Amino acid sequence: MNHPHIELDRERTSERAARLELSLVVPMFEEEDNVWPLFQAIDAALSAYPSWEVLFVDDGSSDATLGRLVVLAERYPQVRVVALQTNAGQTPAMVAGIEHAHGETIITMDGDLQNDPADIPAFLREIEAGYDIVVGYRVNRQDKFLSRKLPSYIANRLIGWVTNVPIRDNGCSLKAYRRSVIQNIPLYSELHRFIPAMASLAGSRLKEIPVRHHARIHGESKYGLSRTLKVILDLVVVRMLLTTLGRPIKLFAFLGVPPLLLSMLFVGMGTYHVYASSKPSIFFGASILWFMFAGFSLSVGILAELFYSHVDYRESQLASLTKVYHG
Amino acid sequence: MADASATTQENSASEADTDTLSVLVPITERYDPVEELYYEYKQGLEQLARPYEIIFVIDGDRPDVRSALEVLGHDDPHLKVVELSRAYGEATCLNVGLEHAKGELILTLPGFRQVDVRELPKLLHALTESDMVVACRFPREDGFFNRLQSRIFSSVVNRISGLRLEDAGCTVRLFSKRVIREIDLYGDVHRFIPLLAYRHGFDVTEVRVAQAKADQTPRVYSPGIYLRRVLDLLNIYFLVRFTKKPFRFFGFIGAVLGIVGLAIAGWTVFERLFMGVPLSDRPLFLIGTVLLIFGLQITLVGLIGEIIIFSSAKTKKEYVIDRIYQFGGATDASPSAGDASAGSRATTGQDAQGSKDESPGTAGVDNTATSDPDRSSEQRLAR
Repeated sequence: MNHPHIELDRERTSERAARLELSLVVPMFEEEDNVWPLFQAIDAALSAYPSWEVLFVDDGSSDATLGRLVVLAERYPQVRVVALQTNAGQTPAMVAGIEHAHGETIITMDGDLQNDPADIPAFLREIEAGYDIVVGYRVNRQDKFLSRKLPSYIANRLIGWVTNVPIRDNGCSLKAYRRSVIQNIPLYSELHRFIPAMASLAGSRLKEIPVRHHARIHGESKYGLSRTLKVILDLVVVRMLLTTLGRPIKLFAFLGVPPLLLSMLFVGMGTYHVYASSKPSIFFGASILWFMFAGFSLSVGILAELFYSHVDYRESQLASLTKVYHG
Repeated sequence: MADASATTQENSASEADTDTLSVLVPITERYDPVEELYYEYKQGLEQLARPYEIIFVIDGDRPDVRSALEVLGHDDPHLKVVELSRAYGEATCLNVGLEHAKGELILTLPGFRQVDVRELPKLLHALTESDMVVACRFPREDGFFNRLQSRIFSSVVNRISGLRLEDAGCTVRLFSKRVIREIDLYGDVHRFIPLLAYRHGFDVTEVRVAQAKADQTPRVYSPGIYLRRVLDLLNIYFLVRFTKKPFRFFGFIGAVLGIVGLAIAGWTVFERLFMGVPLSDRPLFLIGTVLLIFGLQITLVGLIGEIIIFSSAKTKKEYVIDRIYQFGGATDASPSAGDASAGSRATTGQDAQGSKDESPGTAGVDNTATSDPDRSSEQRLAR
């Protein structure tokens, strides 16, 4: 794992202790019964590795999760706990963990024991083989078919089709990232579901490997069927972000083309109608409306261009950044 | 804990100052004669038996207020007066006042008598258990109409926030500076400080305080003011629910409008094609088109919103870190304690792989919330 270090503050910390090889980031929300078994499984899986840490992010749990995590941290030096003040949601919790992680490789996983820490070494091997992102997909999922598996199958196909990053299982939290890649991906709201798609912006190399999946033993599942609409809306946003990163005005100008054609069509229809029946026609009205919309779309594109001029992770910059590490 | 308090002092003023209670009194549209106000507030603050300062922030040019305060300020070192060059509104007054406040504990009092200041110690008592204490006028002794306005406002605010406040209109609030640092104050959102604090994960408690006599006169505002309140509420509703996901709001509305429009226009086209109903003089077709285009426009506005969020995503944090627990590592003499450029990354750099000569029970509690070095002074008090 000897990559050229280019960050300045990285050298500062490396004076005392070499950078860790691996950071596990585990968001925990009301998982009091899972704290201890989870850490035992992690510890067993990583016993062969010399330098690693676990960052448990307590996402404002109201039960005993935080207390148990702190006890764990007192006992084991590899454990760090980031306690959020309030329930921020899964993505922000994950981002909080990622931002405080010291490892060269960052692995995220669920705190509900559905992922098996025994799979972690396989992820590390793939990262060492040169992949930037390794995502797991759950083989024989232990969930109900109608309420969980089927919606997730449809969602995965949809996400793959819309984002052009066909991944079998977007819902699997067990993923490994090279530090330089994940820390440059903008993550907010509930975009964790689309990390691979967002990372494809950086031209990262991606690998899928099978992982084990266990049924939930302790605690309640926090997902449901009701989020379909939200996922679809988020998906539109991701697609839009992916397309517009280069030149947003292109997309919006392009969106203005069909309305412009419609507008012309209606002018033609209106003219024909007036000649044929010599009566006024509403088609001219429709034509004006579509023409206005084409103009609106173009203006939105100009606005978007304006906002992107402040963004410092445009496509090109992201790509060049990954090249520094393994060019 | 030793190193945590050491970093605290790096950024804040001397110990005596941080103990001060800073009282902010914004003087905006509605205010009582300041002499009376000053003497009454002073009397209330004296009985708290702790150092305090009163900061009057005058919103714009109000010569009578200024001259009165200048006279008072001559013999009172506790009094500070800040005058804004023009009227900016109450939120700006509070922001400016905060900049001049030397204490870590802030009390805001309105520019008019709202509560009985003899009951201020109640607020201080309650603060030990929560991050923010707001006063609630009880019992209400004013007329029916005043109470009705208050009730309506409070219930709408509660509906939006999930917070349970009896009196959301009372601006007597006590909180530590770190609470307000997390919240962006602008425009008219000052009215909703408790709500925003609550959304940021702070504990907000309400304490019943007797109503001031002067607050009991009936109040009827001009329609414009009521309209502004409604807009404020809409604004805060959007802020609370959709700041990070504008497309969920706009996209949904846009989709509904667009689908309805498409259905209407599609129906008229269907009738034209298969039933021979002429289309060119049917206003219904135009209505459908308008709805469809309106929906599309709202959708595009939502996309622009997402682009704005995306382009600022790296600078805005969505989470507030309460504490970072790390044990076993070296926690003394943090090499970057005074080094602002190192930020939190270096401060938390005393990680698990550090030296183990410390006894295992010592806690390296790091309160740095973000990479912003100023935040290192934030401390959860009295845990």
